[in-house]
Amino acid sequence: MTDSSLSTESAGLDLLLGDSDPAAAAGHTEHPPRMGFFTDTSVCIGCKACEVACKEWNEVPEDGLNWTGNSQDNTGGLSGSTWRHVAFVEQRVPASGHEPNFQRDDDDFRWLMSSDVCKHCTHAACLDVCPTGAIFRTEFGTVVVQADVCNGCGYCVPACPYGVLDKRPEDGRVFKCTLFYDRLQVGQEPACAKACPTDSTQFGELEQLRERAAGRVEQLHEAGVGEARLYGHDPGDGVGGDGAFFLLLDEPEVYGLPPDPVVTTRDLASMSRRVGIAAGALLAAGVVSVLGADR
Amino acid sequence: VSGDAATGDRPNDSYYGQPIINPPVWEEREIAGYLFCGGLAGASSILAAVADGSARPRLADRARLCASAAVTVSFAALIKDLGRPARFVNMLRVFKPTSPMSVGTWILSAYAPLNYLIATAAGVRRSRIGAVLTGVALLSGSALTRFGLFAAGMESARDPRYTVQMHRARADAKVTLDVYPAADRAAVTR
Repeated sequence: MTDSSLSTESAGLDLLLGDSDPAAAAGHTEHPPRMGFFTDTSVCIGCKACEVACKEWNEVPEDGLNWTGNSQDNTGGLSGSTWRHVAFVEQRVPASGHEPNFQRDDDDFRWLMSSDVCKHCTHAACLDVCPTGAIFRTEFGTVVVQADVCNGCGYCVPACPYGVLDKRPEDGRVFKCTLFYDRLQVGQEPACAKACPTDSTQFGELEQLRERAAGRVEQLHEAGVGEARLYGHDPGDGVGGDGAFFLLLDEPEVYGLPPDPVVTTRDLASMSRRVGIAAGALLAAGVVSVLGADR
Repeated sequence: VSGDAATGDRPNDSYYGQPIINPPVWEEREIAGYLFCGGLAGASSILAAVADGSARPRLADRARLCASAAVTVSFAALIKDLGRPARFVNMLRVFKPTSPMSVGTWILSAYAPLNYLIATAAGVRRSRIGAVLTGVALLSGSALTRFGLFAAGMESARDPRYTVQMHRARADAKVTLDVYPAADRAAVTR
């Protein structure tokens, strides 16, 4: 299905695709500016202070005291009990000499690090498919799961194109990054961004962050780091742009990010059409099988 | 540089070969069973409706019975697979066309009781079983009332609330009296 067919297909899908102002689209008539994260992985040092700050403030349970054996990664990926995940990628490629990250001096080696988090999509499939209304859009344009409403149906888990949401098995419900909704409401900065010692994770108004990120890419390109690129910053992408976006030094899949994420509910209209056809076929088969049979 | 340097000691087209999206957290038996039984129920209801319309009462009865059984299994499987089954009703606090699960839950919640009702009514109309069922229903209702009263009595003894609230109300009523000396109480109460 193409984008153009979508806009004409169903007015109901405006809910999914209409607006670059998700808070207003969700009914927050007067609302603060959209807030988000910009993660500049070129200055990430892999200290995991963001992971710790997230866990401490949000009282996220322990997610296993183990090493994955994959470089310095010990949480593997985002889950119900891991709302921040620092990825470590070791590459045998010539470092550019302007490489801001740690590197060995004598070898063709570079180390990529990136703190992953919920992307707080403009068009959030998890929110669309949640049958209890537990997942909602805040006035800051972020996406939050209400633990006291969630019934653990798990529909949001495969709906997320980034693999962010997951069930906490010992609890039965789904949990994820709240972008510190509680702190935002009282004018506080998210603890992960506050704890970041290199300002790799930056918090602020999304518009300002996008401008700052564009400037940073330009700066890196001028410094000879041609592979620097933004990810999730474009309001024209498959999820309408991310509330939490990134500056990467390699392809997204290297960091465990999908190269071209699309809001999964985009296919609702075509799905419904096919369900309608199948239901019609079933009806016809029922009629024929009864009326065509001997009494 | 896409990290795929020929010297690389592992392919860099993924993060250590880990999945990017999360697989569904659904149990195979419950969710595949829910879908199958739901379909079975729907198809049976179609057969029942056509059979009714073409004067085939025996087929209609059987199809409705099959639909009732299938929708029961389907419903049970759906609820059992929730992380918090007791919160099934949370899905009835909103109706969201963008959520196939919300739509499915509402269809099931309307369809199942209607199906039971119609199947029972049709069955009652055609057999003595109806009379038997009525008797059984009356007797079990009566019996369950007694069991309920018994359980309520036990619960009221276990929960301090039921003792304290009653005593507190009584004690509060007495305060008015206690502030007067015993000699005057007779006058007050009189």
